[in-house]
Amino acid sequence: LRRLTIQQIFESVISTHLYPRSQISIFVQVVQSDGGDMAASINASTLALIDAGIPMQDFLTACTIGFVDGTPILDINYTESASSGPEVTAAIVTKSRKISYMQMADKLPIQHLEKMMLAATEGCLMVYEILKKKIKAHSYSLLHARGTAPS
Amino acid sequence: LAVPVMAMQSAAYQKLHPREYYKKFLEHGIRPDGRGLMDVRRTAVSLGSIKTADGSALAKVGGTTVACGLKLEVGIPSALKPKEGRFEVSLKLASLCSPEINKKSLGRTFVGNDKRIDAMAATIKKTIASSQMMNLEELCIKEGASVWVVYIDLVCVDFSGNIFDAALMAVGGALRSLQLPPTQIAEDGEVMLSREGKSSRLTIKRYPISISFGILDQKHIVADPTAEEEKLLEGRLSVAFTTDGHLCLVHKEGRESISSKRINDCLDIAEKYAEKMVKKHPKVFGFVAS
Repeated sequence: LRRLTIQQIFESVISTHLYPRSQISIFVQVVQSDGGDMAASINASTLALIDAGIPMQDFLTACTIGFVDGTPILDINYTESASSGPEVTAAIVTKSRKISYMQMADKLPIQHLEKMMLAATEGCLMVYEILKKKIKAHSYSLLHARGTAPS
Repeated sequence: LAVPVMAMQSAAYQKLHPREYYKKFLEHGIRPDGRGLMDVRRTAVSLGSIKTADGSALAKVGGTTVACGLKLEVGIPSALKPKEGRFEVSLKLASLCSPEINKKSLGRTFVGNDKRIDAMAATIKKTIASSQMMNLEELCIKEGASVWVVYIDLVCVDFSGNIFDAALMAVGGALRSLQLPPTQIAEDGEVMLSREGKSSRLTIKRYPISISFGILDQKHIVADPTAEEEKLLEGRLSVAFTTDGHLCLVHKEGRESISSKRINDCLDIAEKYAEKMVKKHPKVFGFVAS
């Protein structure tokens, strides 16, 4: 289920037309799991594709939302997700804020879902900010190493 | 003489530019088969068709037909849940379900794509669990030692798009028709079918009813896609509500992304659809007390 999902959502953001007759393989290995595996896999894949220099139309960021006592909780860990509360995993295309992947398989009143979806979008944007900072820092250090860093 | 030429031209247009051809329909709020964008095809559910199975049902959504057979086996409960039975879901497409089964186009299989089918079976299992439709403790034979394991086998015998909704309805019907045989436990702990005692049924508190949408792009979302439409619709959204009005599944996948507002629109449609289904098939989706 995860493999297929990652393949499908990245198909929409990777500029595959620039790589005709080629295959881009994404291998995801969960080294340590503490909840939010799917979201971490998607975020890691985004970073790996950027590291590989594969052109993408946008960042795909993901996060997991739990719900306790009427409040959405961002990025739940294993203990929090093992409790029987509802859980939403969502991935968004960052610029357009459109939802590319969403999974909610719990019994849930519909009003709560709306709150969780809003929280998911905000959460993904927060992840985007973190990723962007890291990528910029990494890029600068690469340019620095080449001696072509902007002063 | 103009009519055959027009018909040929439109058929050619459909072959050459299937997406544009389809979009032309959608822009007028209609689809090639005459339905509105959010209309679901006619549904039918029949229970108990397969006598050799412990429970069975046949569900149709339009032309898509999914048969569900349940087989009971005695198993050992998990240590964390010693009083609960289990269920496993498998889904497969029979070779006769579509002339295009396993046909590959551009390296992609549309019908009979194994990964898609396995993923769908996993989602169906999740939906059954999240809907809390049955009390798994009713499957207990002896706490900590023996429980019933329900093997839910789904077979699509006719594929016309949207297996998910038909499959979920078939599971609901099959679980309703499930008969748990009376058992007795021998001295050595082995569970045997007993000749006395009556079969019991599961108490089904609610049924999950799903409606699947295909996403062409942000503006065009259609409910219950046919097989031809599924080829063009790169995004999918399945929403399931229980018959007593609780949301139990939101599953969005595929290449096209949509805004959360559109997802909310689909949720509203799915909620009304679940209510409608109870009224339409009261013998299947009405409440069952064991």
